[in-house]
Amino acid sequence: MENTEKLLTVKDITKVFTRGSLLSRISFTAVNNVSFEIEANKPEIFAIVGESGSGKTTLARIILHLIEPTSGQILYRGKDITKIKSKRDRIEFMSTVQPIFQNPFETFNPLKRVDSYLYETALNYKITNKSNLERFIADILNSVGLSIEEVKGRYLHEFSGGQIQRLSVARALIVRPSLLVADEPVSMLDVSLRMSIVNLFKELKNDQNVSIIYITHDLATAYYISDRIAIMFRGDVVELGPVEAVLARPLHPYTRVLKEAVPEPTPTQKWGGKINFSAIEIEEFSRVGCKFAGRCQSVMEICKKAEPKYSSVDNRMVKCWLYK
Amino acid sequence: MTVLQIDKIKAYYKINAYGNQRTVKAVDNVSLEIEEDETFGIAGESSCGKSTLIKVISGTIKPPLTIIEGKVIYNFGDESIYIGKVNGQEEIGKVTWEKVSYIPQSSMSVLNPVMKVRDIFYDLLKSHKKTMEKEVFNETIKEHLNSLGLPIEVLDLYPHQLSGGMRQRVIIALATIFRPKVILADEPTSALDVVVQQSVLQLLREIQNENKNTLILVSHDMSILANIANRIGIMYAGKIVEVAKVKDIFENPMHPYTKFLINSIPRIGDKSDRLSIPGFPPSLADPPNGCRFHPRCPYVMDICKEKSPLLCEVAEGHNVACFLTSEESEDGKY
Amino acid sequence: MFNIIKDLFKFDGRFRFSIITLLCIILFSLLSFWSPYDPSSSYYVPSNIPPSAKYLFGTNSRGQDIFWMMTFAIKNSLIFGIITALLSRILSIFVGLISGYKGGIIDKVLMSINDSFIVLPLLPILILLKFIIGRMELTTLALVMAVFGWSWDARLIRSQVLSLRERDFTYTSVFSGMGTLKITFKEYFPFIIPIVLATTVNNMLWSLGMEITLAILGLSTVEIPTIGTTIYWANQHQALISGIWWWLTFPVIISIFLFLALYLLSVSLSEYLDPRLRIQQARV
Repeated sequence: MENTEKLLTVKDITKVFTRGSLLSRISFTAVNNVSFEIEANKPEIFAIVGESGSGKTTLARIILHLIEPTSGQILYRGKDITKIKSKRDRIEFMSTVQPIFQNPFETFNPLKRVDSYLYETALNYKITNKSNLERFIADILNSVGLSIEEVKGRYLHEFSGGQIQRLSVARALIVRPSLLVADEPVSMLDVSLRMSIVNLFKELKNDQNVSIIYITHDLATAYYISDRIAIMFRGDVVELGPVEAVLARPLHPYTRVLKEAVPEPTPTQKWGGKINFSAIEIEEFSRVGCKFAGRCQSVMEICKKAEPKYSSVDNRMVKCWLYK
Repeated sequence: MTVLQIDKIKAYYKINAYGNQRTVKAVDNVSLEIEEDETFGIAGESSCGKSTLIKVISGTIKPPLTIIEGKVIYNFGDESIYIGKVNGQEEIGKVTWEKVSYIPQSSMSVLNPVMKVRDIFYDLLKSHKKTMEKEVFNETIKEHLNSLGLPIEVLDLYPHQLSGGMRQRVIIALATIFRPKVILADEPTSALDVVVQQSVLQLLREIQNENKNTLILVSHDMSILANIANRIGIMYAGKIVEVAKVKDIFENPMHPYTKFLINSIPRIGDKSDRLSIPGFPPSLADPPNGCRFHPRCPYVMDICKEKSPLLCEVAEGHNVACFLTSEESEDGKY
Repeated sequence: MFNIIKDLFKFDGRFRFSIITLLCIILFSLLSFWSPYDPSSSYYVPSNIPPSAKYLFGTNSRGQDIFWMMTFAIKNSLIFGIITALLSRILSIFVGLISGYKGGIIDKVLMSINDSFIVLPLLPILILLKFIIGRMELTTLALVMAVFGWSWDARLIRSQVLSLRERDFTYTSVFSGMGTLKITFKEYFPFIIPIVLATTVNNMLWSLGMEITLAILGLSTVEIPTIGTTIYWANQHQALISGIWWWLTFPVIISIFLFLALYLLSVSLSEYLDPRLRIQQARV
């Protein structure tokens, strides 16, 4: 019998934040009707790309059950995470999904020894017993390119950003998760260090069968490791599909703009064109119709009036009136 | 004409806390000559000393940062500014915004959050041109914003009401209102999104093209420098290891570190494996002996472990500090 | 631990001063165990003799040797201050941590109780209690003060916890399987140690000051020698006007040194322990 259960189902997730007091409330939609699925037993790296304000971090937090969505469902292997109440359910959920955070120096408590987190995780999830603990931790550290000698007894400030991100991955791997949600894991690292962490993710998918949701604003690394990519703009997923197709032949106008803005490391090909955009971001959030209409080169009348629907074009999903 | 001459500058942080004395050799024997009408990029990883170099160049040298040796001289034809050590005494010339301005990395920490943008401009103008009238101020500001393509509406807003990209552009407006001869930009776009980044960098490029001044841009992102710089200096662990025209850096890098840097950049359209640089950048408080890159260098030789190579010209306009390309080592002690 | 004390002693003048002063004061108070006189007795030596070789601090109008009285006074005051500070610390840490981390209803309830305590006027209540209970033991007074002294600091700790709760390492701890209690006490505690230390000493200063105030007003049990009651008796016998300056001088000088030492101790310790400073020192 074929296992048709998906590892992760994100269904029509919407998150609305309201600010202000009883008298004057501003609400804005950080995530608007996002849906996608990740297969079980077929590890992939799924990139979610967007600029700041696109809602990608909010989406990550919802998937990690750190924030409640306003509406929609998140299902892990068919189980709804909003129904998680007991400690046993929580542990089961967290053995499936683990996070990797953006700022390595915030991921761990600077006043505690970093290896304490590794021991905690191993013991709390009953992964191994006390006698095998040291060896288990040493093996996990080796698998991410660290050794137990360089980690034992040290504090956060004694490591570099790259090393801490590796530690973060090691800690997450202890519970043998099926899914890692990495929220901008390399954006705080130098460009030259990014490759080592990004290559590590590739290894994890190929050798350890871990699926990774890779959230970033960096198209280049997203292209380098991911299989599928979702482009987010102001809370909407505007294009979703295999990464080669989406980035080689972008359909949505925003994807095109994004791709063109990435600087090529080739001195003979410099940027052309000029970009103009609004001074105040909130404007774009509260726009009626397609949120990108204000900057879109191919804007039409209908774009300013109604929110576009998803269409399936060329093996991908696009949210744009150009493709109806 | 050489507008900025950095001559064998050594600037260290001397930290003394509860009996522990540490000397962080952030800028260790750096020499550069930067011309008029060029965009010079300084590339390097974090904690390689590039921000300290900018501090030294801009004259903001406060304890625990001290100049140990060397000098920095600005040459503006009619006047010059001197920063350096004279007879054991630090002499820091007054570096004014009219001649040398500075664009920092994080825009939010620079703009006063309780002042409207207009008032920030007034503040700046008042402190430099004390005799200007308010109406003349207004006109000058409006003209300047127009020339940069910024909407006049921002003048009446507070910094937190602006988006990150807009704030950075306001700072660029502040930095260029006196048409300075040298603009120092320390990672001006690293906190910005890629689309905004493009627009900010294009703005900088336009300003440089129009005013024919000097733009010194520090960044860890080589791709940015590829698009905007004329020459690039690669900095590693407090020292400059390679200086060349941007085309030469990318097509013919000579220092092993530069080669690694160029090869580790991912490109859209190319899924082939990329290698990262092995090892980790050294601590500036306790740098390796000899050539600072030798623990990570695949071509390391015996001499690299003992002596530090001198930055010297290897091809036209191409300087490299490596024993693979030259035999000269730095004389004197660190 | 000893390294910290050694480091601070060598390099921080304030710490040196405060430790030496406090040690002297404590040693002085320990002398009370060798006192030849019972502290509650009076008129056992000739009255009003100025400080001399035989009577180091002189004698007072009640015929007591001030030197030996002071040893008891300091001891009692110190014990009083320490009890108050410790008890109120325990309360404030517990309330602050739980309230800050849990949030929701627990937070609202705890904070309402907390704010009620802040608002209650201390002096009238103490006067009232004095009339109801009559003769109050020093320890009873200490308990009462502890009950009033925790609320400000609980709020301080709570706000620190509120900010720590949003930081990424809290999420890391959650995903490492740590429960609420573990997170608040193991993860957050090192961050609140500076606040706790600073407020402990503040609390001691406050309670000692309160004790002195109450005593001078005649509201505490005046037969028990403390710094405050010594001053009370001195005022009762109009010591200043009568020229018996040594009765007032010594308690005042000793309290000044005590307060100064406590203050400098808290300042130098919390500066040393400030996590930001420590992190800054290590990373440059």
